[in-house]
Amino acid sequence: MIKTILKIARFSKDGKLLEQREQESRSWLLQFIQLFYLQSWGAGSGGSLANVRDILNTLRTVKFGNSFVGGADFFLMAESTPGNTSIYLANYAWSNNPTGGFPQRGEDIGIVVGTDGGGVTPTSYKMGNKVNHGEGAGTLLYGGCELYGLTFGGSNGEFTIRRYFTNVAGGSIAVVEAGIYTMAVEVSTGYIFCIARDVFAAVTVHNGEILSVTYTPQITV
Amino acid sequence: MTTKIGLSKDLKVIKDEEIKHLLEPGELGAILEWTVFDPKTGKVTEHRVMKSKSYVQQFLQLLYMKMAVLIPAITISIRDTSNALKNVSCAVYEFDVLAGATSVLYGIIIGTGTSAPLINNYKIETIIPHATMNYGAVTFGLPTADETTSQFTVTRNFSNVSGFSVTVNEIALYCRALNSTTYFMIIRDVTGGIVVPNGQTLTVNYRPQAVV
Repeated sequence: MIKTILKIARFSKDGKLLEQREQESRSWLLQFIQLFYLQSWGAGSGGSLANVRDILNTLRTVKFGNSFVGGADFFLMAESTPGNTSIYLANYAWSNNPTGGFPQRGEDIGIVVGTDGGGVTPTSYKMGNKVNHGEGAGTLLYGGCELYGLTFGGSNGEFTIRRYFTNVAGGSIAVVEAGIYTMAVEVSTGYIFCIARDVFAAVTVHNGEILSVTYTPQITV
Repeated sequence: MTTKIGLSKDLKVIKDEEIKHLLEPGELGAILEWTVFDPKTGKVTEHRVMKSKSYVQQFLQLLYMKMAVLIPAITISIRDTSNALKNVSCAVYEFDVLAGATSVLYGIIIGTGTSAPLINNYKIETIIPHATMNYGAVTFGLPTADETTSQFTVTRNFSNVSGFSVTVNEIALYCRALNSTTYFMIIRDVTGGIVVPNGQTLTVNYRPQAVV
């Protein structure tokens, strides 16, 4: 069984911890199960899976085998570049689109945050109201999304997915939702899918402050 | 004359709609379900459903590799089912369990071992070979969701052709990753003993689920 711990922390601009919350993540979504299904079934069958809903509320037919490095697919990818930096490098060995790959902005892959605390169901397909990367009002600077800390001890194992968000917008933002976005490919175009989403009591990030969001999947035997 | 009827195990059949509630909200896991039946009569002699308790180390390592998109230059060392450490990065094969009939290399695997699962188990304790229990092809049920749960199903049939009863004490899920000939165990469960009489068939379902 896998439990996932969600931690939300707020820091001053000089790194002092101001506030920290921890709760069990409640919400791995249907899109996670669909993309995991495709990974479990698709490599042997070379098939595709219809009716995977992207964050634009469009049903996509996600095909296995739109490969990049070593023939792998993107399903479940959560590591990401900062902000609006393109996540993919030109020298990756794209098999289906060698001229450009499937470039996406860093802020659209990995942990994302938002301001809509509406409830979550398995078929939720996007953040209620995603806070975009930026410096203007209502935005946060998205750092890179990193995975680290794969460790095992006793009968337990875990790793952590983390992203920092910096408020340089001049005002305050009340963050009440976090989630994980990933990418998969229909034909030769990459689309974004929401694989996890959680809501929590508001954490107000004031101008100059830094928000940290971590997801830690854990197994216990 | 008195007729003695042997008391069988206390069987409890759980309806499909009840399966969805074995996991707690927020849990990501799998349901393990098995049925023993006589293919000649269709009679079911055992049907049980339980939480799959034991995702092992290799599962978390492969999930990490997948979510971090490790490229060939940045590998992770994972122990395969032959007890060899392999340097694994993202590849075509990552969680592939779509094994064909007769394959005991991946897909759902059964055994007779009774040792409690440990997080560092890398293979089933004592595998039951094909031709003792004939391994069918792995099949899949498509992903679905209701108001709380999303899931899909991985299924395999095992036919007892040994001439004797076989007791299945452990069930595991092996996947292909890295390449088409490298296999990793990602789940191992101990069942408490499933008696499959000669000529009968064991059907095993793993249902990966997420509950909100």
